[in-house]
Amino acid sequence: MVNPLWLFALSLGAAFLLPLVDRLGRRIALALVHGVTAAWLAAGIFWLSILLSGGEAMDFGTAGFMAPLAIVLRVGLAEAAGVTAVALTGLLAASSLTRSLRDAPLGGSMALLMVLMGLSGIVLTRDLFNLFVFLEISAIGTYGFLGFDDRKPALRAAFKYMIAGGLASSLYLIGVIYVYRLADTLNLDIAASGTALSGPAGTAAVFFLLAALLVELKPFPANGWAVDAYETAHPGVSAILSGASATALLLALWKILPLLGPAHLSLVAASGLATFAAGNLVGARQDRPLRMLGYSSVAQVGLVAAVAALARLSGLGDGGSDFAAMVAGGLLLNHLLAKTGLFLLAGAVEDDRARGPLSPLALAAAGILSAALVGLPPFPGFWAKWRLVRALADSGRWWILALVLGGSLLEAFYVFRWLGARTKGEAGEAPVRLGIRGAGPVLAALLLVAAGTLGGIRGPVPDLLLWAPWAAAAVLFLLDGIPGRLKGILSAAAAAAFGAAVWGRLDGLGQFFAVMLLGGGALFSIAALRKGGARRGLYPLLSAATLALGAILAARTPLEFFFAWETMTAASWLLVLRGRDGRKPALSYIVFGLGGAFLLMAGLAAGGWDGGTAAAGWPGLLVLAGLLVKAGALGVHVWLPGSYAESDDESSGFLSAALSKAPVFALFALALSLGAALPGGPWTSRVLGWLGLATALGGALYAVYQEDIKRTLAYSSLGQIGYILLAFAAMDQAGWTTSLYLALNHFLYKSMLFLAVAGVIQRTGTRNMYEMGGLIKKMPVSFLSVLMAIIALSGVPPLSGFGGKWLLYSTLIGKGWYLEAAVAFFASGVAFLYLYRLIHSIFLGQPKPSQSEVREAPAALVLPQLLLMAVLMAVSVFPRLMLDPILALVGDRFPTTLAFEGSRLRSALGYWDGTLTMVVTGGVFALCLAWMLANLHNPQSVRQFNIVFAAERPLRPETTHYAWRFFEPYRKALGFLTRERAERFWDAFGTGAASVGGALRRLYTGNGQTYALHVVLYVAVLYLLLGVL
Amino acid sequence: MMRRVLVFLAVAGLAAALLPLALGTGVPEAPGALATAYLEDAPGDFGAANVVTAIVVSYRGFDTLGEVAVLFAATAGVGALLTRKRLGIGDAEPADKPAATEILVTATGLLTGLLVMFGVYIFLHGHLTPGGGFQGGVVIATALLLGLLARPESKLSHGILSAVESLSGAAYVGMGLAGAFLAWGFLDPRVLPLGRIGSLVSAGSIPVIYSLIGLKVGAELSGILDALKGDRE
Amino acid sequence: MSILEFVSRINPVAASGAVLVLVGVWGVLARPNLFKIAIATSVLETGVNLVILSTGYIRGRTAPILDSAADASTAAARMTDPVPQALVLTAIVIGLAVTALQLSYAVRLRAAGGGSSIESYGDEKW
Repeated sequence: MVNPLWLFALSLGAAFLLPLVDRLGRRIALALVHGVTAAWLAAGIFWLSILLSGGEAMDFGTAGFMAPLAIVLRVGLAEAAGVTAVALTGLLAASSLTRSLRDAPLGGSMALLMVLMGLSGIVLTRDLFNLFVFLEISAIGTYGFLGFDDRKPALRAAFKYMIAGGLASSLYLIGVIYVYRLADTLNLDIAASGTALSGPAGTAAVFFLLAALLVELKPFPANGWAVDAYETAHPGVSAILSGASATALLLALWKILPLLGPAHLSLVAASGLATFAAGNLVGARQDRPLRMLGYSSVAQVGLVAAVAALARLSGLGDGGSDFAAMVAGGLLLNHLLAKTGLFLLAGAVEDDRARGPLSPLALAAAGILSAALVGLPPFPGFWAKWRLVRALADSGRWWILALVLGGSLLEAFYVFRWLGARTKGEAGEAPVRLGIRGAGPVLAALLLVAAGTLGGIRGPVPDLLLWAPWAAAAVLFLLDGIPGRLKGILSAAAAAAFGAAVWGRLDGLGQFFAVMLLGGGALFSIAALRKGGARRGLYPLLSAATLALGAILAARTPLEFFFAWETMTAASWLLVLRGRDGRKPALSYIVFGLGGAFLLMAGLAAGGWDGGTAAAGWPGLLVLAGLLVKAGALGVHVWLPGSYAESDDESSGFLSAALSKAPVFALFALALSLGAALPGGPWTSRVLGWLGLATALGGALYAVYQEDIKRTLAYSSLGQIGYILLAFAAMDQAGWTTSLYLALNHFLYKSMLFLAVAGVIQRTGTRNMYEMGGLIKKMPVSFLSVLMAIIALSGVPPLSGFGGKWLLYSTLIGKGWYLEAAVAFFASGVAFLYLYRLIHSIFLGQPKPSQSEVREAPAALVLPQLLLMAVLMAVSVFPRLMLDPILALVGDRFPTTLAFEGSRLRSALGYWDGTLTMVVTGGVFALCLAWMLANLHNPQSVRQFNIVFAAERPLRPETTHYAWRFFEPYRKALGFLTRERAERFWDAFGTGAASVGGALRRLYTGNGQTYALHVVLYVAVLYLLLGVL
Repeated sequence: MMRRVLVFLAVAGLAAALLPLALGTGVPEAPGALATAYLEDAPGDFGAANVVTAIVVSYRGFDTLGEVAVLFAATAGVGALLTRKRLGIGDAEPADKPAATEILVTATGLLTGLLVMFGVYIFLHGHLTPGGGFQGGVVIATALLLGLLARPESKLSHGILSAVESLSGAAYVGMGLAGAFLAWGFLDPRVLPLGRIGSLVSAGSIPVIYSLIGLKVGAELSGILDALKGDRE
Repeated sequence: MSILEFVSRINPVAASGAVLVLVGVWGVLARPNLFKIAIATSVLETGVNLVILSTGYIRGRTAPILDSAADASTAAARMTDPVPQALVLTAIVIGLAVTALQLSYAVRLRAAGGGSSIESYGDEKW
C-alpha cells in the first residue's frame, strides 16, 4: 500500500512552494493544487481496491517508531473511503472554485490545500492529539478559506464560525489531556483497550472529547454559526464544508466511538436525532436555497451520527459493525455526493441571480441530486434508509422510526419545493446555463447513479427486470433530442416488451393488472403522438412510470416491491411537475406520495407483507394505510385533483386510468398474502367499506361543481376508486369480483374520457367547460367516445357499467350492508349530474363562434378511442369475456355466491344477463327511434347559430353561458358536504409544522455571540444529561 | 437580563463539568509508563538532551509538521484577507503617520541584531536547552515588529520573506522524506550521526529541522505582522 | 476527607488554568467587541494551556532535560512528565494562529465599514 505519509509530504511540499510556483503563473499553481488533490484521490481509490479485494488494514508509524511512542496512521476500509470522499469533493468543488481562486490572492489556494490535507489527516490518524492537530489544520484552513473571495456576508459568517470553532478546540484539548493523564497514552486503540477511562474522571474526560466533536458536527441548537457559513460562503467552500468536512468529522466520531460508554452513546444518538428533526423543521421554513441546504446538511449529519451511535449502543441491526458501516456509510455517501452537487449547483445559480429555468442537463442533475438527497431509489440513501427502517422496526424503536421518516418527509417537501421552482424558473427569463460550473453537479449526479445502481444490483435487488424503468428513462433521456413521435413508439414498445418479458412470472392477479397498467402505459404513449416536436422529458418519464408499474407486479420481496413503488412515485411525480402549472400540485403529489410510501415502508419493514402474524396486526394496517393514501381515499385525497388536472393531458389519463390501479393491485396482493383477509380483524373491512363509500360520494359531489373539465374527471376518478374500495372491503366472492370488474371497467371508460378530453383541449385550447359547446358535429368520434364512456360510468344499461352496479348492489345487499347500499345509490345519482354536464356542456348546445374551425382530434387520440369503444362494446354484449377470468381469479377463496348459467350471472338476489340487456335495450331504442321517425312530420334541422341575442352586453360574457356554474342551485342543498375539510385539515397541519419550524428558527438570531452561547449551553446541558444517564 | 442569566448558567455549567476534572485528578506522584519510556529512551534513540525536543521533533514530529501547517494555513488566510486592495488602502501612501519616539528608534537599532542572534541561538540549541524553532522564530519576528514600530513607513521585502518561508518549509518536508529514505521512517532525525549528548552537533537532524522551523516561523509571523499593518499587495 | 486534605490535593496549576478558561468563556459570551472576543479566546486558550501543563507537573522534580546531574537511567525518577510540555507547544502555536486570524477578520470587518460590536454583523439569520 502507498504510505499516506508521502501524500502529506506532497501536500505540504506543494503548499509551501506554492508562492514560488505562483510566480510562474496562477494557472500552474492551481494545476498543482488540483494535481495534489487528484493524487490523494488516486491513493484513496488504490487503497480501496486493495482493501475491497481482501487486503488487510495497515498501520504506518512515524519517525521509525510505532504506537505508543510515535504517531500512527491507519489505512483501513473506512479511512480509504474517507480519503477518497474528501479528495473527490475537493475535485468536484474545483469546477466552481477555479475561477474565483484565480482572481483571489494566493492564500485561497493555499487554504484549500490545507483544508483538504487536514481533513484527510483527521480520517487517517490514530492518535488523539494528532487528531486535534488535523482538526485545527482543517479548521484554520477553513477560516481563511471562508473569506478568500472577499464576499462581505461570508466575512461576517466566518467570524462567528471562528468563535464556535475556538470553543470546540478548547474543549477537545481539555478532553485529550485528561485522557492522557488517566489512560497514559494518546493512541486511540491503546486507550480504548484499557479500563482507565471507565471511572467518573475518565467519563468526564471522554465527555470533553466527545462534546468538541459533536459541536464540530453542528448539532441543534448549537449550529447557527455553521448554517450562516453554508449560506454565505462561496458555493465551492460550502460544498467542501458540507461534504468533505462532515465526512471527516463523522469518521473522527466513528473513531472515538470505542472510547464511549453507553451514556455517551445515548447523548450522541439523542443529539443526532434532535438535530435531524429540528434541522428539517427549520429547513422547511427557508426560502433562501443555500441556507435551506445548510439546514438540510446539519440534519443529515445528525442522522448519520445517531445511526452510528445507536448501532453501537444497542446492537441495532444485529449490532455488527457491518450494519453501522453500511447504513451510516450509505447515508453519508449519499449526503456527501448529493449535498456537494446541490451546493455547487444552487450556488452557481444563486451567484448569477438567474431566475430562468435550468438547462436540460443541469435540470437532470438537479433532479437526481434532489431525489438522492431525499432517499428515493435507486440512490445509496434509499438502500441505507431501508436497512435502517428495517432494523428500527425489528428492534421496536417506533419513536425513532417515526422521527426518521417524518424528518425525511419534511426534507422531501422543501427540497422538492426548491426543485419545482428551479424547474419552472420565472416566466420570461432566459434559461440558466452553467457552463463549466455544471461539471461538478453533473459528475456528482453520475456518481450517485453509479453507486446506487451498483449497490442495488449487487445487493438486495439483483433482478435486472426491476431496473428496466431506470434503463428506459436513461435511454430515452439520452435520445431526448430525436423526434418525439419516435420516442413515443419506443416507449410503447418498451411497455410491450416488458410485458412479454414479465408475463410468465406473474400469477393471474398480476396478469390481470398487467393488462391495465402496462397496456395503459402503452396506450397513453401512443396517445402522446398527437403532438409533434421533441416533447422533452415526457417520454422518458412516461416510460419509466409504466415500467415501474410493471415492476410492482413483478416484485417478489418487500424491498423489491418498495423499490418499484418508489420508482413509480418518483416518475409519476415528475410527470405531474412537467405540466404547465404543475409546480404546486406536483409538490403535494410527491409529499403525499412519499407520506404514503413511508407508511408502506414502515409496514413492510415490520413484516406487513410476508403473511406472518405481524402482517395480520398493525404492520399490515400500516401497509394498508400507505396504499390508501396512494389510492386517494377521502381525507388524504387532496393531492389528487390538482395533479390529474395540471399534468399533461396524456399523463393525466395515464395517472387516472392506469396508475391509480397500482394501489388496488397491492390491496389485493396484501389480502391474498393473508389468506384473503384484511389485517386487523373484521372492523377493518367495515371501516374500509365506509371509507370507500365516503370517497365515492365525496368524489362525485366535488366533481359536480367543477368548471374545469379535467378536474371533473379527476374527482370522478376519485369517486370510482371509492367504489372499488367499497366492493373490495366486502371480502367475499361477489365483492372481489365486483371490485376487479369495476377496476377494469374504470380503466376502459376513464381512458376513453381522458383521450377524448385531451383531443377537445388540444383543439379548443381551454379546459373550462363553459368555454366550449356544440362540438358534436366537429368532433363526432370524441362525442361518441364520451357518450359511451359516461353510459358505462353511470351504470345505465346497456353497457358494462350496468353490470358493475348490479354486482355492487348484489354484493352490498347480500352482505347486509343496506345503509352502504343506499349511500352508494345516492352517490351514483350525484354522478349523473356531472356526467350529464360533461357531455352537455362540451358537445351539445351552441358552439362558440371562436371554435368554428375546430376539427376532430388527431388520429393518435381517435384510434385508441375506437379500439376502446370496440372493447367496451364487446365486454358489454358478452360480459363473460371479462367476468370469467375475474371469477377464476377470485376462485374458491370464499363461499361461492356468483355463477354463470350460459350468459346469465346468478347471485342470491337474482340474475343479470348482459347479452339480453343489450338486446332489450337495443330493441327499445330501435322502437322509439322508429316511432319518432314515423310520427315526426316535416322535421327541420335547427342551425346551430339559430339564436337571438339580447341587446345587452354583459361585463363578463362567460357568466351568461348556461354551463357557467351549472349546478349552482344544488350547492344550497348539498354544499355543506363539499366544504374542503381535508384541504383545511392538511393546511392547518402544514401551518402547525411551519410554526414549530418558525419558532425553532428564532434561535438563529444571527448574533455570533448568541451562537457561542448556544454552544456552551449545549455542552452544559449535555453534561447534565450525562450525569442523569 | 435574560441573556446575562443564560451566560451565567452556561459558564456555571461549564464550570460544573470542568472543575471536578481539573481539581479532582490531583497532582501525579510519578510520570506514567509512556513518559517514563520517553525519558529513558529518548537520549539513546536520538541523542537529544532535551527530552521534550526529542518528542516534539521526532516521536511526535508529525504533530510538529502539522503545527507548521497550521501556522502556514493561518498565514495563508491572513494573506488572503488583508491585502491593500481589500482593506481599501490603495496605492496612495497614507498621510503622514506620527513618527516613533527617539527612544524606540534608538533602542530598535541596538536591539534588532541582538534579537535576531538570540532567536537563532534559541532554535540552534533547541535540542539542548529549553526552546526551539518556534520560540526562536517568534523572537526573530519580534525584531521585525520593533522595526515596524520604529519606522512605520518601512516596507518588508515580501519576495525574500516568502522565499525564506517556502524554501525552509520545503526543506523541512525534505528532511522528513530523508528520514524515510535514509533512516527508519518519515521525520526520523537519525539521518545524521547522533553525536555526543549535550554537544551542539548532536541529536541527528533535530537542530537542522529546528533551524528550518525557526526560519519558517520567523518569516511567517513577520508576514502576518506585515499583513495586519496593511502592507500586503 | 477534611477540607484541608482536599485543598492539599488540588493541583494549583490546573485550578488557575480552569479559572482562566471560565474567564475566557465568559469574555467570549459577554463582551460584544470583536477585538475583545479575540482576546477572550486567547485567554481561554491560555487557560487550557495551563491545564495541559498541570497534568505533567510533579512536585519537586526538574525539567526533562538531561545534564551532568541527570542521565537517562535516573531521569524517570527525577524529572517531570515531558509529554504535556511537548503537547502544549503545539497547542500554543495553534492558539496563536487562531488569534491571528480572528484579529485579521476583525480588522477586515472594521475596514469594510462595520461596527466594532458583533451585534452589528447579524444579517444572516433564521
